[in-house]
Amino acid sequence: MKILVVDDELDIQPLFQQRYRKEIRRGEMDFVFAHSGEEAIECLEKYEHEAVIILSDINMPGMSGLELLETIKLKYHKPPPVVMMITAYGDADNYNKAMELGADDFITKPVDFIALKEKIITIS
Amino acid sequence: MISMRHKIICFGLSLLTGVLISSSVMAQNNLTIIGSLESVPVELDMSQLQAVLKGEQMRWQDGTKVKIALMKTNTPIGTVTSEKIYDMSGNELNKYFLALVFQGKVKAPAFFNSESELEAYVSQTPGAIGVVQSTSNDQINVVVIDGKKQI
Amino acid sequence: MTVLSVVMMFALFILFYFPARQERLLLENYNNEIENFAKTVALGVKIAITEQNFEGVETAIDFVREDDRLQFVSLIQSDTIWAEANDIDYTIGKTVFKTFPDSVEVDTEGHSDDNHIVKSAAFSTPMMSGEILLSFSTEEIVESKRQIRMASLSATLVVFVIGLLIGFWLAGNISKPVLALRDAAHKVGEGDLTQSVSSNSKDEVGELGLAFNKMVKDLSVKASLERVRSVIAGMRGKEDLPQITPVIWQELISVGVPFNRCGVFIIDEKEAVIESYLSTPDGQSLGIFNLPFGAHEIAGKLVDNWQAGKIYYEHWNKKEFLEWMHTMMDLGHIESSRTYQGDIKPPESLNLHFVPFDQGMLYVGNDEQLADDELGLVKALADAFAIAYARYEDFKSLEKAKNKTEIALEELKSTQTQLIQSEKMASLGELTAGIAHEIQNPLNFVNNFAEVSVDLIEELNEEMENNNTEDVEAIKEDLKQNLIKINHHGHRASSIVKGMLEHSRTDAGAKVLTDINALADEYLRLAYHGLRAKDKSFNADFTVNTDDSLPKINVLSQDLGRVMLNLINNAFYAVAKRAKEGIEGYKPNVVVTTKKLDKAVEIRLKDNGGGIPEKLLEKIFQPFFTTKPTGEGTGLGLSLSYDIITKGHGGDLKVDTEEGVGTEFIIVLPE
Repeated sequence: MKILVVDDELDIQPLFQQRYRKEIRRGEMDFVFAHSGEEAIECLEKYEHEAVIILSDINMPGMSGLELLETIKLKYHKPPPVVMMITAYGDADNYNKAMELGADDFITKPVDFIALKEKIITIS
Repeated sequence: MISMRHKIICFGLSLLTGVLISSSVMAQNNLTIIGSLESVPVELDMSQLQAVLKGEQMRWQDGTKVKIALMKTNTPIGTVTSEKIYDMSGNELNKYFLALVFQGKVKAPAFFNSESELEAYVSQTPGAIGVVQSTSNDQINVVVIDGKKQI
Repeated sequence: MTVLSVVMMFALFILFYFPARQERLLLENYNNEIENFAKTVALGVKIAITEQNFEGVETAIDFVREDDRLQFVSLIQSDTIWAEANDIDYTIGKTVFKTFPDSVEVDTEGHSDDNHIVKSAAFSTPMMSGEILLSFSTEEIVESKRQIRMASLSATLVVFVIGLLIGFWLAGNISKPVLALRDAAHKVGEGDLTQSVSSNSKDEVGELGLAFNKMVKDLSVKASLERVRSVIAGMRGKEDLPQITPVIWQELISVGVPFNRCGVFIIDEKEAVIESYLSTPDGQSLGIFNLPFGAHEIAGKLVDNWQAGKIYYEHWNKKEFLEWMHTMMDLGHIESSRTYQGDIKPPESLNLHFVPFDQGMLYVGNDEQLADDELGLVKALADAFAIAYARYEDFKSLEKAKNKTEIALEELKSTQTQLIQSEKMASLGELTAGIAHEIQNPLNFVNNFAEVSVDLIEELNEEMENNNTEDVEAIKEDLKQNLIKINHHGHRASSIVKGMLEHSRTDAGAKVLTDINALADEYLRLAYHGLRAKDKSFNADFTVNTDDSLPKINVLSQDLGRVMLNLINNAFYAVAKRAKEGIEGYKPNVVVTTKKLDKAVEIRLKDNGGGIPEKLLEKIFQPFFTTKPTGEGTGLGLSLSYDIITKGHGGDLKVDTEEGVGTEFIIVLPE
């Protein structure tokens, strides 16, 4: 299953790739990186028929993470992708909003990679 | 109707009048020279008289001024006086005396309207000599001229 | 001179006109006389001819003849000579009838000449017509004329002499005093107001002298008052009042008011006290004290009279003076009797005169009592002093007001400083949230990459043990990269902190060469994150278009940063507000563009928010003006920004806006 990571910070990519190098090598995780909400949508188009877990930052220029969430939840039904928000803004407002929009999970930065892996495995 | 008596009377009267007139005329031709009692001589000859009356002689012997008294030349006597004595008309006589008066030497004669006035003047004025027709005044002398009482 | 000319005229009149007239009269009379004689003679002639009465003409001729003046008397006869041809034309022939004296040749026309006057009288009678010509010599007339001339000449001389005498007398009585007056007037005109003329004579000249003296005195008083007024007008502050009082005394002396003690008494009804300043005429202070109304009975009298506007007079003998002085010394108002007396001994007799003016009483003391006119002069000067005192009080209240204003200004300044500081703090507060996030991200990376690196080391050890050289190399490379990234993100964090520190500094700092592009970018991000921190729903597109050829310029980077922050915040705020309106297809967008200009740098900040209404445009740079709801903004941002750009950097801040389209702020900074 593809895991789509959406974050405007470029260094997220090497971070994930290093953190999960073993998993990636073993084929347990397959990451795709998008650096904006728009890019993420494009990716989804590509992998429409695949199960996708989306890990998205909230604060991004252009389409924000929440907007992306909303769009995904509205547009993509089969299969409905799992969307988890990963963000530095761990306040109640953001959380509620995300939940309202149908986020499957809400993770605050800095990312606990072990816990995250757990969650992913659980889902998949 | 004029009666005869009337005619006779008229004739007689006119005759009388004529006589009277002519006699008066005849009578008027006579002049009498009178003088005051003082100073004036009682006798003069004609040339003397003329000298006095003409103003040539201005004083009597005693020095009294000659004062001539004449009848105005518009009276009959006056007319005769100027003709007979001066051989001038009344006008000429006036002019003559006027001229003399201008000289200032002669006193002009006094001219009178009536003989009585003349006589009165002569009687009252010493040195006065006058010419009248006749006189009966005893206040004045009659001056005999050339032996005649009347000229 | 006038007299002389009048006399001359009179004399000339007598000399010429009078005799001339006399002569004319004489001549006229003579002519008449002669004519009368002629007429008399003529009449005489007429009577003689018409009435033969020669008395008249005789008398007349005699009379005429005896007259020495007679040249001739002649009777001219006129005859009408009829023309022979007809009985109509005729001529008149004149012939001499008779002349006295005979010898004289007579001109029948009877013309007078220079030496003889010939008059004719006509007569007409029927017998003779003509005229009498009478010629008299003018010798006698000439003689008479001469006599008249002589008489008039002597009269003229007499008149002349009398006239001269009158002239001299007049000169003495009129010209001299008038000339003295003229000289005095001349000197007065030049400014000498001490002049006076003698005014003894009881006539008009004397009156003139008196009037002149009074006028000079009045002028002198006016000049005194003018001097006082001009000194008063020169007052610039309350400290100038002590200079006025000596001037008052000086002028009183100069107008001749006698006094040996003087003073100013200001009556303060509120405090019920009389401020007393006593001195000598030359300004030596005798005593200064505040006399309460009840301290001495004279105080009450002064106040009463002052309120009634009346002059108050009192006389003190030595005893009374000493009594007063000791009362004052007991009350502690004066210390030294010697000073107060102004002399070793107190005055034997003192006349006190208090003259009221608006604020109190002017005091003059003298051995002799002052006359009414002298008191009048004191009153005039007291009124002038009132003006000075009023000005003094105005200056005092002005100073008080000035002090109050200065204090208020200081407070205002400090309040302003506080406000600015709180604005800074407010913007700092806005920053903090953004900064927190900004720092958090790099720090996260530092931590994450560090953690990952630790794991990788373990993996490395494993691979090394397993001799998987390929993997070892790969891991080593990754490690290296990680360390670089750690370094990079660490730097990011520290520069953000540094920027934040600079922003919070209150001192001015020096201008440094700054990369504007970097500054713009940094603050844009700061602002964005700051806003996002505040408003979770906030999202906007932002773009930075930088001109790479932009030179570094000398700026106060934290001030400029504040400006950019402010403008960017405003832009984000505007687009966020518009976004909330829920317009279909609206994409909030903020663009920052930098551009190199000729000798300047341009920074454009464009947003597609709601734009600024025209009627608000002129207000936006005003301090405390804000469209944000209460509590959301201090409103100082734009006005501060404007000051920083224009006053701090000599640049320009303009705004381009269209309602419903957007707004663009343009900053131009000179190199």
